[in-house]
Amino acid sequence: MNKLLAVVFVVSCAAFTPGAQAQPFNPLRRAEQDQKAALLALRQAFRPVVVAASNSTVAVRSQGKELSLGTIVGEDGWILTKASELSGPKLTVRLKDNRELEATVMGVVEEHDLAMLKVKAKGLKPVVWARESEQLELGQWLATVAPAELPVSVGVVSVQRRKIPSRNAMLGVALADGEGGVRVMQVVPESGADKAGIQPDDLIVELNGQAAKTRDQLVEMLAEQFLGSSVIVKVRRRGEEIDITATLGKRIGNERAERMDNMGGPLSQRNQGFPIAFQHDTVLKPNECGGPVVNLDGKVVGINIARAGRTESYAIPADVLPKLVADLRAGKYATSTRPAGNNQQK
Amino acid sequence: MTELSQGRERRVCAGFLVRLGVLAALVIAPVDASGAAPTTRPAVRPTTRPKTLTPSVAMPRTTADLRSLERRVKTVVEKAQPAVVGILARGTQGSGVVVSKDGYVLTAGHVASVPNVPVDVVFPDGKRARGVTLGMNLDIDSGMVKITDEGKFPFVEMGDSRSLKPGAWVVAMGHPGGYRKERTPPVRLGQVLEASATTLRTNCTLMSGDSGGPLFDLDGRVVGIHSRIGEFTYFNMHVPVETYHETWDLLAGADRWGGRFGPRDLPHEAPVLGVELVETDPKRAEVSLVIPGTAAYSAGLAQHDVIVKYNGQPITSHDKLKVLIARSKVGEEVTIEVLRGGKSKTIKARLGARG
Repeated sequence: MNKLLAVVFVVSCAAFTPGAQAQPFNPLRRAEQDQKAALLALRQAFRPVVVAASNSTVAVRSQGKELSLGTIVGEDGWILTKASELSGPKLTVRLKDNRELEATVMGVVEEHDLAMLKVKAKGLKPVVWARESEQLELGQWLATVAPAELPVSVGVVSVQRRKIPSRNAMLGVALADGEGGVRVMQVVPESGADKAGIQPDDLIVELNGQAAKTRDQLVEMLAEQFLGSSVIVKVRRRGEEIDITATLGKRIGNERAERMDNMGGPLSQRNQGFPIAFQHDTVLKPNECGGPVVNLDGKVVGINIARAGRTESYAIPADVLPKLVADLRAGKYATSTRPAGNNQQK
Repeated sequence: MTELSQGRERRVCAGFLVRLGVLAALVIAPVDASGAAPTTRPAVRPTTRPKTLTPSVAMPRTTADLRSLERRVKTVVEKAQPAVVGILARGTQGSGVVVSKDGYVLTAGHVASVPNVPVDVVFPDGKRARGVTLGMNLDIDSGMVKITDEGKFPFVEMGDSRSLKPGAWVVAMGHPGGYRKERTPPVRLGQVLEASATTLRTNCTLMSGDSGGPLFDLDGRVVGIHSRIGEFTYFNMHVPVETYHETWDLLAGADRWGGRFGPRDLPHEAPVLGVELVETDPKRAEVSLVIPGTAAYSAGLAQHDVIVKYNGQPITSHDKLKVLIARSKVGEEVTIEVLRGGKSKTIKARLGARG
């Protein structure tokens, strides 16, 4: 116990005494080294497991900075990755054989936060998706593959696939059921609703063209949105109908949980509001998402899509990906008609 | 340490709490501690410690090793997950685990917080049962809840945390962020990194809301209860289940003692004797220090005195003494029997209040 408390004490000092000198024996550093050594030993055990998938994995970069991992889905240069991490000029991808190729964003599926990249290459090795019948089981091993001999990290399946609602975004209105719509009771100052000009007593009748009949219905529709997304709110105000475009801002009152979630490393900017994902306990960095996740058979069971909290990472299950890949390759989500970011038209 | 050393301990702990972010805050708001009257309850220990435990400490080296570990983890989840519960009280949330057919639930002290408060217990399948908080040792953050609804509940065995060595594989479940109906309690796998009599540290990541949730060995037995976290993903602290075995009767009897974790009692409500005890033997109340200016000091208690009785009740552990002091009132005159140099001596002391 004394050792532990000592460690804890050092942690607290370290956190609050910038510039504190390293002691000859630093239990915190020791704990960090032990953890790294243990994780390395465990990753070594996965070497044979990740061999095949590592040839189908790339690092997505911008001027030498790693933005995300990517998953090769076509031998002629098609690569899937996490869309919202792709900031910066001159995208390149680095293959396992260290070739670095220029990449272009061909399409973005915003709801899944997936982007399709294209590089000029032939003979790449596309991933082999796990068959649909290969159901994940809780507690089963997963490895997050890198374009390298060893996986980035490993973990286990925490929760079966589900819809991941958006919890950190809010429009900024207090609502009540109204006659023929949903009544705005209050507007949170400085919120997206406030900035867009939504006013108390407005009657919301539509959200993004869909009728909003009850408060619960509207709340559910809003829950599908995420931080930074724009919505078109049709309101009835003094007998007049107005379309208002509002951007969802950060939910307030969540600070404590948020702080704890951030204890243990940075999270993906876009980490909520996914149509479908399974949850695992692999500790990832935001730029380690976008690549394949394999089971012990080396089969790709999904693509990491977010580091979402201290205890959780999300991956899109493999069986929903082939269709998205086909649509992306067919140009259905081409970026020329739908640039990344928030560009809802009025 | 006794309740008197809490001032100092609490400072250490305050650093712990505030700087490292303990899992405490999402749970119950402090309730008037004077409502914490001890009650008598049937205290039936649901399980005994299993005779043997074979913790796997081996680091897998081959795919075959990984597979055999995976098999055990999957079995643990299958067997144990139904007994992992959410505990909902006064708008705040924690976790717990049912350890007896009739609904005794282990949780964290700061989740239970105060005895005899109604709570809702939610199972992973969404079924709800009513319950009540029982006892809590707020020095180490252990706590207990009892389901009061009639019925048979899924439960798991309590294991043996004494033989847990660094490297032992463990499985954590609970409700990070609070109970969510669309999500089963997330499974996390990790290893014990440090083990002491009152704390286990693992790299099973925890979050607020997980507090009170179970840590299992690979046989699916409860070996720890989630308590608090540090800044890094490998600082996750759990209360060893051995402490629940040791203090079962006190916890089941709705006693509340200690104070490092959980709401702080008002000074006038917390009676203080004024001794610290030799920590190496938690079953023997040997005085290591008498605090000047306290009841113990005025009454003439001395270093190396062994407290054997308190108001006629035999003292069998430090916890028992702390509980009995906690049950007393500030200003009450108590009779203490000590062994001094092998001879029995009776001392009367008037309890003070925590300053």
